[in-house]
Amino acid sequence: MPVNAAVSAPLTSVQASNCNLTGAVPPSLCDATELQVLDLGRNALTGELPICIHQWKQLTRLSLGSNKLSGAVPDGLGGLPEVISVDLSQNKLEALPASICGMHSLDIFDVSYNPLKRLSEGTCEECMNVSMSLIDLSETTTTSETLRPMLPLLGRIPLVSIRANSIDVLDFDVMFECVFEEIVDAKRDRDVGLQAGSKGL
Amino acid sequence: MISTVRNLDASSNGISRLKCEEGPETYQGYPFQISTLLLSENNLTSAGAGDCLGLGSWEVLEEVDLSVNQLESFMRPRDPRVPFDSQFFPGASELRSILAGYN
Repeated sequence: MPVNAAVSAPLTSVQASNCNLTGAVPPSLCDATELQVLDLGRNALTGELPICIHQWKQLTRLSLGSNKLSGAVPDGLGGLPEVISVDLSQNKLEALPASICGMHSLDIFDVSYNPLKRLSEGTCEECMNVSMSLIDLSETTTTSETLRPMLPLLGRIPLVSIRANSIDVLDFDVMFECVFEEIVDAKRDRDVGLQAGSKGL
Repeated sequence: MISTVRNLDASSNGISRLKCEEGPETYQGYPFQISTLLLSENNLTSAGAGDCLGLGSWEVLEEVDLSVNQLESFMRPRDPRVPFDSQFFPGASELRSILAGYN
């Protein structure tokens, strides 16, 4: 996929879905630090995602679904604060970023149909501000063991698909541990408030 | 408002157990916010009393799919003196669909 563009204005959007593109995601895109939209879905791109992905601080939409991308999704993706939607479905990806809880604007995260061997994780504290509404992990070869570190996060997301995997035990205790913590904290705060109120504080 | 899972599709796995070992004390009155629970095509052998589906409070639950499992008991309390409806999705006043065929 050759990219030779001499432009003066900053590149903010690359949209070339379904264009029979082959080869790797061009490293030259690393220089597009003001990139907001990268849509190269439904092509035949191969190789790994560029490690420079952390430089796309203004990225709001990443659409690379239905390609042949492989390897691990760089950890840098998980720290992009403006990203709203990520579609990496139907590739050959094997690992998600260590954490996706730094993506505070993330709404939709679709990584279905990938042979994932490692999912993301995150403590309750790290993931407290996650506002995701949908995560799709269907057909990702996920097992109970690989799912476990991500379960507390899944317990906080309204729409969750873990369909068609190899999960033998679904651990509700872990899935809802962050929610339990918040309920306990909220109850404690309420009780402290009531006590303070009763003492006229 | 604490955000929790509302629509959970865990169908077509090999799930034999929904683990709630923390026990009834932890889940006592816990308000599950799940409205759609899809568990079809798994290996569940029981559903209801004594497992996650008999704990907490399922006040917004609308649809459950338990079809194509290995269910031998369903909504059956271990203690026959306990009413059925208090042992299976307690508090599920919105429940309008349960699929449990092919078991």
